Amino acid sequence: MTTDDREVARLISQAGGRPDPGAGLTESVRVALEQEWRAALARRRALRTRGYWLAASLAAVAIAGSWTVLRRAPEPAPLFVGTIIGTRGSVLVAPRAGRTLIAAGDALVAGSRVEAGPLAVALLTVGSVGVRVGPDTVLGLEHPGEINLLRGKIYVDSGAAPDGNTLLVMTEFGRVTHVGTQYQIRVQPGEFMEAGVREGQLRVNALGHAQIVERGWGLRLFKDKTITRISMPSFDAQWQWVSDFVPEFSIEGRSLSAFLDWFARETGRTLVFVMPVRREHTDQTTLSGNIVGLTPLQALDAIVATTRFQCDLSVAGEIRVSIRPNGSATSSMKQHATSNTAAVLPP
Amino acid sequence: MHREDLHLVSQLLAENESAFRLFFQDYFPRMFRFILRRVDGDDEAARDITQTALIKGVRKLYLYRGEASLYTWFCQIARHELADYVARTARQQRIYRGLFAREDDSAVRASLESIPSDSDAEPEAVRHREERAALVHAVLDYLPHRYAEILELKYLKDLPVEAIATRLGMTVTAAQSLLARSRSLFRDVYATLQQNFEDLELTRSTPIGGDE
Repeated sequence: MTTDDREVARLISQAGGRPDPGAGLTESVRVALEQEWRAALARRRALRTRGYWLAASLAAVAIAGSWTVLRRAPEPAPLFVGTIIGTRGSVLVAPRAGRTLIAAGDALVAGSRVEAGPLAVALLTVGSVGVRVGPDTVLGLEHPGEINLLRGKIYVDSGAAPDGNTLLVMTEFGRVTHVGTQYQIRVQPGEFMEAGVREGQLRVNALGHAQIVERGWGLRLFKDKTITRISMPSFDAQWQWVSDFVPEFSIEGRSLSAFLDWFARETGRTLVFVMPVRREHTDQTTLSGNIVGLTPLQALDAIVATTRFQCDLSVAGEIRVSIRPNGSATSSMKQHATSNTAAVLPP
Repeated sequence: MHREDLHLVSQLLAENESAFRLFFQDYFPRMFRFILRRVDGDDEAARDITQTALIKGVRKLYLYRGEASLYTWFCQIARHELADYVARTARQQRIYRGLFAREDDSAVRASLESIPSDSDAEPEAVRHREERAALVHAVLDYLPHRYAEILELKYLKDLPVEAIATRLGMTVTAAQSLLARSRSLFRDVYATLQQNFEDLELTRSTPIGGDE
């Protein structure tokens, strides 16, 4: 090795390892970035489709020799306010042109009205905030970063950086803005509005006052202007509908820890490692396959069955991770029929 | 033309999930450190700025033409975000400036300088070490991922070339060759950054091959 090479070795060894952002931070940024990446691609697709449609229309107009259309002043460019990430059941969007069924990747423009049928759910992004639309819900999207909830319920997950992801939810009873990250709002027209917080904080502006709602609590505002606080533990049954249709989570190449973090976030539970299991052990287990179409609970069953761990859900809202008594992966656990997962265990 | 980066971007635009994972694993830590160095180690600010810069970059990926490396392209976006951050925190800075002004008062300074120093914890020496470490980390972040990885495996983890070759899935000869190229590139980038690292104001770093 030359003197220069030795100097390189000395510099690098003296400098030590590069600072690491940490698993928790990395995962939270990854989730936010992946969501935005998909939304950006969906917006691009929608724009391209619109472009093709416009080109085809113009060609048809030219062939027909109808120059009167061209003489009209151009319509203002549509203002994009959101994107459809996925739907299940009958979800209609009602722009000016009429009501049509919507599909993943569709862009939502200002003035859209989204209607989820009695058994339907939809995943949207509004700005960069993830929104799940519950069954039997109607909402309007008039301006960027605003939802006008007319009926039904929505669940909002603003990701890791709530300050940069603002969303205003308006109802006939008041306005709601988030200070935190996960919450749901339910409106029964003419009767009440309910705002519940799973993670973080909410600010509810109603009846001339601002009320802060903390994690695990909800606020119910009635037509007669009475307000009541209700307990809404983060893993309570009232959040169950949220887990029935979740944004896709890719497990390929990810650690068991990353999956458990996602599961905990989706179900509002707290992760607890039971001695002698430590987080590092689940960090070292790499997953492969996919959990497309599974609920978080089905995915947990399918994935954990391929590892040497077992996960118990406690009534106190914990996910208790321990070593399976026989200590190895097993196929005897319940495994969902459509799952396709495997875990690579550390040596 | 940065063909590999262009290929990665084309895969990202085609919604290739593996490409996204590779992109995130490679770029997030480097961007985070790039920003962390410029916000005085404020983890929270670094996280927010990194996330914002990455999101803005991802939204504009279709504009990337490969003239600069993708990392440099993202760093440029991060610089704009950093400028916004500095503007936002300017008011706070003014408050600190009041403190610095008091520290600079001649009577206060004389009092502070009369405190006996511990040569092992000499502030200048500590600062010098920290700055040089930051420079080395910056150089590693600028190198292609594989180059930085092999240098760290060799000089931080002390792995023999045979073990490195196994870990990277290549022959021993190929690992030796990659190591030589990585050292060479490290030296070049170090020399360049050492002269031009204005952001960190690293004016006292030791040149490679120079005397300590």
